[in-house]
Amino acid sequence: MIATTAHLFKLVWNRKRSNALIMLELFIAFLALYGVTALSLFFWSNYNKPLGFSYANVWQVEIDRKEQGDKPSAEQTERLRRLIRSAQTLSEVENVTASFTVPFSNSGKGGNYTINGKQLRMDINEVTDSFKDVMNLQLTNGRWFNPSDDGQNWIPVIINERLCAAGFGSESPLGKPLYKPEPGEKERRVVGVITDFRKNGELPRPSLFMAERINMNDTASFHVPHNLMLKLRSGTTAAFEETLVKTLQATVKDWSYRITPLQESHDSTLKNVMIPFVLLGLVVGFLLLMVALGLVGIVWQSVTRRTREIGVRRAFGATYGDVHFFVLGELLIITTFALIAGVVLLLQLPLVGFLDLVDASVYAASMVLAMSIMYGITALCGLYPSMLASRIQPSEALRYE
Amino acid sequence: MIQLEHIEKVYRTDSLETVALSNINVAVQQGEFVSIMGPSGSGKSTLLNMLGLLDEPTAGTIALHGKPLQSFRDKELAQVRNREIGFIFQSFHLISDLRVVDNVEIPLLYRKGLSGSERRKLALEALDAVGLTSRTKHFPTQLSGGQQQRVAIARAIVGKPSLLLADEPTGNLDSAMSEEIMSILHELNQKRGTTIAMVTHDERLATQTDRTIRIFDGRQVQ
Repeated sequence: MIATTAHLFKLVWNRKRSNALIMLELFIAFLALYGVTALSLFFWSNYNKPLGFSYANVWQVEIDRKEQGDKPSAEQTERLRRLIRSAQTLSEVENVTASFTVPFSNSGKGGNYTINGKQLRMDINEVTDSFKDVMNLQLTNGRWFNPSDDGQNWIPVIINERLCAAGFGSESPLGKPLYKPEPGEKERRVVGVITDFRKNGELPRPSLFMAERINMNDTASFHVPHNLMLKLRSGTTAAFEETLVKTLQATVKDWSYRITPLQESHDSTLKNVMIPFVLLGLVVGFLLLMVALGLVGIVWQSVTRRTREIGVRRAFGATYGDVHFFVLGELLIITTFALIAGVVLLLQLPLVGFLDLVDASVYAASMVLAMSIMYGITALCGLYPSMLASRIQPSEALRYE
Repeated sequence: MIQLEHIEKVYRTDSLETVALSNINVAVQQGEFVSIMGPSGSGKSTLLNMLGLLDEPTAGTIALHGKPLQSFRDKELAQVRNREIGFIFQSFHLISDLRVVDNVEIPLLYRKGLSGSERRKLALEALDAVGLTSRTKHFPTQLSGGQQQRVAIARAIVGKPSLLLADEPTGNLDSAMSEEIMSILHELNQKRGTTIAMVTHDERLATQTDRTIRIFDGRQVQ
């Protein structure tokens, strides 16, 4: 087996010119397949990680203030307070919170900050005290925001475990400033750690996250939130939307409101990612099918063209199995050469920052998976032609013109 | 050494039945050099295929060293071919993408227990025996017809078979090269004691062998 494998490697190498096109085809197919497997594993691995919040029975109220600028005036703050109070009076509403950004929306806030000497990119949200209960966040260390935070000369922040690990390692972040503030900026001090808050949903890579407390009494330091989020009692129907809008409009007339259940936003976000992904999968699937059909044809033609060679090998002692192995093995070795070229190329990806986008495990596993699929496809394509080749009688094969 | 008794070979299609061999009884003794002659289509090559276990007879028995082979399965027949029989073909049947030495190694690939260096050593010895030590790294297309046939002989003898079957080995060669090939075959027969059965059209070459089996219309006439 080892002897014939080495012999086949030699044969394929010597036939590299005539095999170049098929190798190129396999190489391209492998790269396309790698793209799809990497994306699939990336999504799968992210999907299996907890979101860190629950969006069930949570509605988003997007507020259009019809005014320019984010910085609040006392009047705007008062209007926001009134809105929250009026929403809370409704029997269907369990809890209300205001936040700068909401889950599954395209808008967001973030930035690069230096934490303990490390430059880290994080997502930021500004939220009121009830955000934790509305979103059902899981606190794992410290505490959540509360009214005792009013009047501090620093801003309390909650971070997710990922940011905690990246910025503080095994040390406790509690009571520590998150990063050095700019001149005139208030210090952000960590008061608690939550498991996660994956605003963009299940499929994107989990990010580092920080939530800042909105102090409604300190109009100088927070941005007026564009959103309210309402946790509704279980069983609340869509008909409640009308009641809610009427109540909000009665409270603050010259603002307008758009209600969206987070379940809807979630489904729509998921669809927006999955549709292009499925289309890409179909394109790559079609490419692989073409490659597979091409391979069957090429192997079939190669077997026919080399019938006498098969006859010679049979005459000199090759068994049915040896011929089977010879045809299939040659195809697998051609695939190996194409995959080696593909893997060499893929090994360069970390140099261009690919590992910043996907985990190393996804990067490596998708390579192994794509290689396995390529070997599987080529083995399958070579199976029938190799079976035909092995059935040729040696005397017939030698006579073949 | 090899004995064919009452061999028949019939090729059947839906509408046609062609008798290629009929009641052939041939025994080739150890160390003999026999030629097989007959007109085109008389069944010479079919007979050689039977001797080489490349084809199954429709009826009759084949025995090698007194051992009947009809019950042998593909794997066992392949082993017998590998260890006992060497083949030389009219059109050489060398693999053009392999170097000379790699072509010669082919029979040894299917023999268990040989290391790469042993295979290489045996291949070089076989090439030395046919006077081609200077051409081991060449590809077949870089050689003359006579040299290619010598490579084919080296390939046939590399596994030290006891029976060498040659199907018109000089058919594609000019007379000088034919003589060269014949002298190699004689040397193998006389010095190594290799049994040889050779199909030929050339009466002159047949006279150089120990005896001639003549086939006409699938029947043995001598």
